[in-house]
Amino acid sequence: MYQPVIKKSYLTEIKLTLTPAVGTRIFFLDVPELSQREHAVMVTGIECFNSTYLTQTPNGNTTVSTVAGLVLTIAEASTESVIQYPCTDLQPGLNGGFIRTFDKKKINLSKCYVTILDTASLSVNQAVLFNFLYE
Amino acid sequence: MKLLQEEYEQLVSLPLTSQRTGGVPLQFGQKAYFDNISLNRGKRITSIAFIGLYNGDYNGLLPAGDMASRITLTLIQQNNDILLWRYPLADLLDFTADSSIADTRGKKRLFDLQDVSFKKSYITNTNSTVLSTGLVLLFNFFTQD
Repeated sequence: MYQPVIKKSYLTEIKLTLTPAVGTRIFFLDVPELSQREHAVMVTGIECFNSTYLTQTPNGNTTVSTVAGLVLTIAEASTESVIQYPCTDLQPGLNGGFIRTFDKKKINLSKCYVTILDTASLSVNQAVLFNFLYE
Repeated sequence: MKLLQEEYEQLVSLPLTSQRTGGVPLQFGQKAYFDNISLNRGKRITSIAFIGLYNGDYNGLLPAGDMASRITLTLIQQNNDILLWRYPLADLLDFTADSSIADTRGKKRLFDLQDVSFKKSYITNTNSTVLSTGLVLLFNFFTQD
């Protein structure tokens, strides 16, 4: 089974700053390493982690215990190219350890977001971790 | 015809000595650098596996899964480019006996990392529980020429 060869990776987080509510969209903050305008970064894989992978985020927030109620939307320029992708499918442990690969997406991180479909087990000030694999 | 290149394997330990930690346990957000570690053979890192931790008395491996979910790995290139930024060690742990603990389910994580500077690379404690001085982290680095 194909597995990506990782050239670079960057761990990002989305913080649930408000009490989680169904339908809420939470956008990524800008990360300079993933949004270099002149040399567009190409994302080759995305992983999503819950607290079993990392109990706290690098910013000190508690990681969510489950990503079952979350979906991810990826934007390239101003076009959404991956829409409401289940975060559970991006968590390797739920996926036989495999990493989901993408065909070199030039993502526009500040227009990418997570949508809450189910608030169960989610609390305010928790965070969801995404590991972007890119080159 | 392209022949398969030989892959070398090297066990790398990162002891949290008082020199690395400043003599105090590693708090949340603090780093421990690899420093003088060098790879004997091969210039390109093709895979990394986190094996686990020993305590200072070498009384056997500590529960790797529990500890792996508290630590991240950052690898920096010689030219200061970031290669891996806060990569969770749990995603480098290829097997744990407990199915509730995160690991790669036996999958080898593949990399193509060149010119890694171990002097600039480090692990970070990403948990409010301190990492005691004397702990030894064990990694397996796979390399090719």
